[in-house]
Amino acid sequence: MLFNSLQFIIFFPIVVIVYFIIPKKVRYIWLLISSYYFYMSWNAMYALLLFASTFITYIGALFIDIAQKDSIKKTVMILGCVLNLSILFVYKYAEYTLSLISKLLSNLNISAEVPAFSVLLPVGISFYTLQALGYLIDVYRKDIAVEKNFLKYALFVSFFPQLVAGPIERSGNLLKQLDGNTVFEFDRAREGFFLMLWGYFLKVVLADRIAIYVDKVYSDTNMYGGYYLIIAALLFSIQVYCDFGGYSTIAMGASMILGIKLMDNFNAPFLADSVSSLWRGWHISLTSWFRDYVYIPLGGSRKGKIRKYINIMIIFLTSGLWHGANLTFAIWGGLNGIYEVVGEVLKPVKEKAAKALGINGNNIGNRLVKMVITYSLFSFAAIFFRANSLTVALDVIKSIFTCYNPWILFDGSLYTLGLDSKNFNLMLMCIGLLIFADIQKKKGIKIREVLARQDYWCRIAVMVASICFILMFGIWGSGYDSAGFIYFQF
Amino acid sequence: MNKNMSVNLKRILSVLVFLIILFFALRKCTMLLEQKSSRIKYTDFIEGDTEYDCYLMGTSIMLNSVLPMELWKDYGISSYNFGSSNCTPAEDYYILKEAVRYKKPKLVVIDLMGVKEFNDIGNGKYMWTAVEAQHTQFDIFPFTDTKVEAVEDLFDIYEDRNDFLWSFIMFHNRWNELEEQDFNYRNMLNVEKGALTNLGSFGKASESVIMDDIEVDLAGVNYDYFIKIVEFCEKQHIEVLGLYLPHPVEELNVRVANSLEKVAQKYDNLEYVNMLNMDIHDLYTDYTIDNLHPNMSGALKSTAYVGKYINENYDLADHREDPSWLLAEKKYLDFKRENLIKQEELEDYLVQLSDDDFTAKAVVYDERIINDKWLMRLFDNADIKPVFNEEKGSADIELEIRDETSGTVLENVSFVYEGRRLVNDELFLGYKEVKKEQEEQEKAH
Repeated sequence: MLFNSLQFIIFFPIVVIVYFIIPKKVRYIWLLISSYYFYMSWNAMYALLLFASTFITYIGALFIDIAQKDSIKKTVMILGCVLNLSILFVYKYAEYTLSLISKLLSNLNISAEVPAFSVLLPVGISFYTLQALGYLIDVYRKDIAVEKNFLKYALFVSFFPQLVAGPIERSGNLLKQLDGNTVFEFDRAREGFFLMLWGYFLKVVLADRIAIYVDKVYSDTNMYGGYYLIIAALLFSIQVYCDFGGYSTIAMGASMILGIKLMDNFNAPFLADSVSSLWRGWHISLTSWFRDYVYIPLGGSRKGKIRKYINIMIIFLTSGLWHGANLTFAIWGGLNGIYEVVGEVLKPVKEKAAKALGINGNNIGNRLVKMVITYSLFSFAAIFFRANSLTVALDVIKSIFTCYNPWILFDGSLYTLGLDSKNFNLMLMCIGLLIFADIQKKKGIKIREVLARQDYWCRIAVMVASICFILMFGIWGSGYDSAGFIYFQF
Repeated sequence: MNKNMSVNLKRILSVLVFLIILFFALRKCTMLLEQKSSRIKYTDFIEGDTEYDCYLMGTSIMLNSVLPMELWKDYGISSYNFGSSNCTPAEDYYILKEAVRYKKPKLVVIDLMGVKEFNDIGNGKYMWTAVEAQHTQFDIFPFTDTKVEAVEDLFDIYEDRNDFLWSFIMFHNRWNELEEQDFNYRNMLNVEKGALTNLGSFGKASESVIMDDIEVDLAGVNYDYFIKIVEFCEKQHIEVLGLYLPHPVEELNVRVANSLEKVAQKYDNLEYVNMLNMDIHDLYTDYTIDNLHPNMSGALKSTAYVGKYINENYDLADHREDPSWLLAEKKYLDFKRENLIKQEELEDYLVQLSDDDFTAKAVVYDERIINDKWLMRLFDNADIKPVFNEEKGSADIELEIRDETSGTVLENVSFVYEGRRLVNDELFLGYKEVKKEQEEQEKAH
């Protein structure tokens, strides 16, 4: 059940109405039933995996809680992590690993039959696995108390707004909010509704419109070379931001209506003036998860610079592989790691050079240049994220640097790739709106709160206009394959 | 009332206001973005207060063949044309049910070309894939039980059903195609009471296959729906006249037309007329470029036959003095004048001049025109006797067109004769084809 489907538009109001009508003490059960129904609408059988992940970490946490010796606690924690990660490995990485082994043996001229293994990746498995692992580690670290109510814990793992594509919540934040003690607050619901509308705008109007162009170019990278690919690469970063950011925003809005506050997953990443700053605003729930559960346990920045750089690379490579079992994702992660390490290494040099040249790095012009460079570097790495294989990615990069066709920016050729001139201009206008919204966010201004302070007629007018705008200009309906959000594949 | 209750009441009211405004805003958006063909065709039927005694239903052959305004003018019959491209009896059945909700006729005249044609074709169960034509037929009708029943019955695919129940789903992306008629469709309403006059000439339409008396098994989904129409009309005390309208046909059409004779004998409220073998049309003058649909000349002939038949066989009131029809006639005459003067070719003028609301005097300055058999046939069809003038004029032929309804000269128009080749007595080629052949010959040289 996609957020941008008719089923969800019917499903969600029913969940909300029933949630606030029934007694508080059973609300979490209702949410649990709703969440499993939501998940099973994709594939009922995969709910068993969700249940298994939940059960393993629940039992593991109970054992950790009652165990007296630290060694037993540690063993149980490791066992729980290994079991949970094994499920993820089997469904996400086994096929790729076996194919690698097969290739390796073949290269070594060893004749051995490696069994084929192919399964459909259960939607959201990477997200709920990390969320459940985070809880187990939190209990082991005694950051939170063990949750003894299995159903409530099951809801923590399966809470439907963030189940299939995050944000990857922390037990410390989410578990305590699942008691159902909230009352319906009109202002909060309205704020959540505004958030959902913004999320739908990002997904349906922007991301899916950009996807038409990007998909067309990537469908034949031999035909569409040079500037076609440069535009596609630059747009793809925005597409992923709007697609994933849209999903996260809808999830936040939906949760807010239910009285549950989820963490923000994006914070104006493309207004960042360095790659490290960009990553502080990109997929925050994942990067902070890796920071808290991998980077810091590895020593973080406490064990010297070299070790810090190695840790950064480990984090980015792991993050890349978390996205998918493919070399392209590892390279994407690795490139971003290199950007960050190089940025750290060159930081003193840059500061000295700026001082010597009398350049104030905080001037708007300088910051703008740094933003453009950061965005371009990120978009370049994203070529590996988007390409289906390493060969395609390398072809794209080769074409970008060798095919010279800047006239396509002026002779109307851009309008022949699925978006006519009106649609292309609308896309640019909407990107402008996104930049405006992100600047406000960076300044700490929440547009939805500004709207909430307006008279009711103004709020109603904005809501109605927003809904009509999204429905009119959104890419949906007949002939449109709403295959889902990009991050569902992870 | 305490303060909390008052606040809650205000909030409930604001939500209600929001929902109401949203409903109307979406309705407005839907109306703006939908293709306007349905509103253009049916607004007059749905909103007007004219009573219709006769519904004309069926495929595009009916749409182009029987003109309600001419039926009214010459026979006093009050009718509306529901014909549409590739419209099957299955669609006709539901359109009739919808239409009867507004106004109940005394007679349904149905073109039966689709009774055997459209089975097992298309993505819907009984539909062709002419989606736009289907939207023309259904979009204007509101969300009712009949519409839901129709959509569930006619469409297999869930998404298609939704498109028909709320056309916004289908047309929301039309924002980049909006044009004047989307904002101003009321100025462009159909003034032909649902019909659509085809303009232009063809040359010579294909000969139909030799008529025989062989029959064929009519069984099929669309035949079943035709019977449902007859039975529905029986319950509603509506007479049904089935027609096989004249147009170039193939063997199967002839046999279907033959087989329908027996069906008519089974039902008291059903009459059937096979017009295929009546030589109503002239293949040289009465068809458009698609070699299938009648033009104005062909439509006037079919209309005249149908009007005469209805008058002789059914007891329908004479509406010639009805004020709403007299009002409609003014717009219709303007429409016909515009259609006439917007023509560019002599042949196309002559087709429009077959309408007896217009007459013309023709002076010919080029002898070749007198020898052009096809042109002479078109002149004859329009009841115009050209006068040959041996003096050389500024053009090869001049027409003085008179509007008989106002008694004034509508237009003086002249043409240069561009040549025509007579291949044999039976086949005439239009000058465009001649020019193309000449160009090809020049190239070959």
